[in-house]
Amino acid sequence: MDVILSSFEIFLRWDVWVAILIGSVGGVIIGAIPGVGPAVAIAILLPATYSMDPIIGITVLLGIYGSAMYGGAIPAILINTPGTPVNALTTYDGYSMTKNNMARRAITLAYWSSFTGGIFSIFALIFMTSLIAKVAPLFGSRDILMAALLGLILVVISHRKQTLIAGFLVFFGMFISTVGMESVKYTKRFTYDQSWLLSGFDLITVLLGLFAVSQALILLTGNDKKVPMPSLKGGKHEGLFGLIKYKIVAAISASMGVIMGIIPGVGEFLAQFFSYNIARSISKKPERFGKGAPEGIIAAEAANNAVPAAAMIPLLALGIPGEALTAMMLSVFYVHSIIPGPDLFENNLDFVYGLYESLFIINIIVMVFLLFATKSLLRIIQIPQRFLGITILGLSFVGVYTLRNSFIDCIMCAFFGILGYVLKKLDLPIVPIILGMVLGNIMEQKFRASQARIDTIFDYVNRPISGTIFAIIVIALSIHFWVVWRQYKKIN
Amino acid sequence: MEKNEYQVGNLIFVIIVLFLVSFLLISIPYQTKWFDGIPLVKQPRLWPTFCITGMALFSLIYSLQVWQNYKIEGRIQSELKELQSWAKPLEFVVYFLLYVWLVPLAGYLLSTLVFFFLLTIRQGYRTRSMLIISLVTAFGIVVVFKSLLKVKISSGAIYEYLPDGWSTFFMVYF
Repeated sequence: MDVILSSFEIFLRWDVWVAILIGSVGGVIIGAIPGVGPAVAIAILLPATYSMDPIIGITVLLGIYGSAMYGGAIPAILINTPGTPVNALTTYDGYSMTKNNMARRAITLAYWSSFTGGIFSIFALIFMTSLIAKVAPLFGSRDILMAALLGLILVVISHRKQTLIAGFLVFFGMFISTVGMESVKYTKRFTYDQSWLLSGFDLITVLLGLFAVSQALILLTGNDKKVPMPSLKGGKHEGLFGLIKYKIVAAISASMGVIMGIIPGVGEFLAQFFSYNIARSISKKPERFGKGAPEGIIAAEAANNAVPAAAMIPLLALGIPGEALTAMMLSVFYVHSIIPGPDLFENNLDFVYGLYESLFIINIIVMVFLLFATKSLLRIIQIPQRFLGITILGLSFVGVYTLRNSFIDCIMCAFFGILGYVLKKLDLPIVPIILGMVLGNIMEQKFRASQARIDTIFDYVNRPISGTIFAIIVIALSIHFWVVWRQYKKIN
Repeated sequence: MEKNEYQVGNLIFVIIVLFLVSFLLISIPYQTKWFDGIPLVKQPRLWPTFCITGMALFSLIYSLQVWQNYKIEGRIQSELKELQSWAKPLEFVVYFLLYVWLVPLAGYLLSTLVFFFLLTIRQGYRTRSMLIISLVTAFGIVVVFKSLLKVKISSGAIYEYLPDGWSTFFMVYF
């Protein structure tokens, strides 16, 4: 009880409320602009949050993370262009409904579904906290090593049809995290006698290059598109009635979002994919999917909005980020010497509860904001893309230069920007590099830390937790290879 | 099953990747240390070697797959054209680095205004309204980050030539 009261003390601070407001409204706006997305915004804002109080910094970023997908549904439904990559599935049924003069219904359905997913996952998070608080301290070095390995393997195999290049990029990310001075014998690794490589590649520099600068370059070298705006007719609550009608789909999709969010390395895409397929399989009219089925929008939006809160579980409990956005947030924790992991639940439980309460309010503010401000948000979609590119490039400077006021950092950032540009042009994934970099570093540390208790290789998996995670790894790999083999047999 | 359709540019990409991986493999003995008498797991060389080996393994299989697909659908002319298109953003990277170079000299405010203004013109937005929007956006970014959030950006050398009161004001806020 004391912890909850103490968390309210944090949560009721005026500056936390300002952070909630800026994060949630800002996140919706960022999400509604095609070509920006939460990853770009969070990467740019990260260094600015370092000077803030940890709860303020994290709340702003959490606000953007939790609300961007709400906003991303608007262009997905109205102009067939997802605001954030995870809204892509919403275009299938959302845009079809718009073409059938049901834009308002589709939009409000997306809002209410997102809200359901968001709130459901926060309750799941609160409900699981006591369990996490009990289990998290049991995690030792070997268990965290296995969990990080599971995250990396899942990142690779969840990139369906791109597993080979995802594997390469994960190892590439792991490799760049080794460059510089290592911490055991203090020797240089891959510095080629260049003093600027001694401190290695900074995560923020790489993040900004791969996400923000690359996106700016894509926009600057592209063309502006004329966006015709459909009219929004109908009541604000049409979607709510639709959601009540398909409540089972909403419940299944939100649950799927929570489950997928908890598993490191999986995230929104698989959550949506599974819930969309389940919704189609239980629908009485499966043929409508892709042609304007309300259940399709519910499945996609409820699932992807349930992920952010759930993705905080491995981050907070084990210090293991499940995807790029939580990897970015991890750096904010480290800067403020709040180390996510088992200790956080023992020593800073009020901070954790404060985050949950902020997440809850973020969802409510976003919902109210969207119900009244959608028409104004439509203008944002019409910002010329190339001008957006100039703005992102200008903002990227703030992100990278404020780290150390270093010209070299900016050159590195530009280099990773070009790499990200090429990967995006080739339709290759970027996230594996970031997770490889973050999880690779964790793995190397835990691998070394666990050596005192290792006599044979089996000692890595002879603990109940590490053994269970290892079993999950084996099952995940077996399923993956079985699916690959089945598809291979089908083709040949 | 991996993607079967061939994406133009993939061949060039895997060639670059293979060169990079080969270079890193060759560099391992020169760029990492091996200490006699300490366990394998504490060797500084172990982890980078593991990562590069993983890179080599995946890139090799991926290259074979790309080559198979290229043989069916690829054309060298398209590859070279794609390579050319990768150079397209270099122009903007140069502008970006010039902007970074200019900030410690001309100050954050002036550099940002110039950067936004020139880039807006370069992108073909020549209307008065667009140029004003561009300058207002630049000014807004400086005010939000430097004046309000107080992010650490070195003040411009140019500010030292301003009268005393103005000089301090600009150094702190712009």
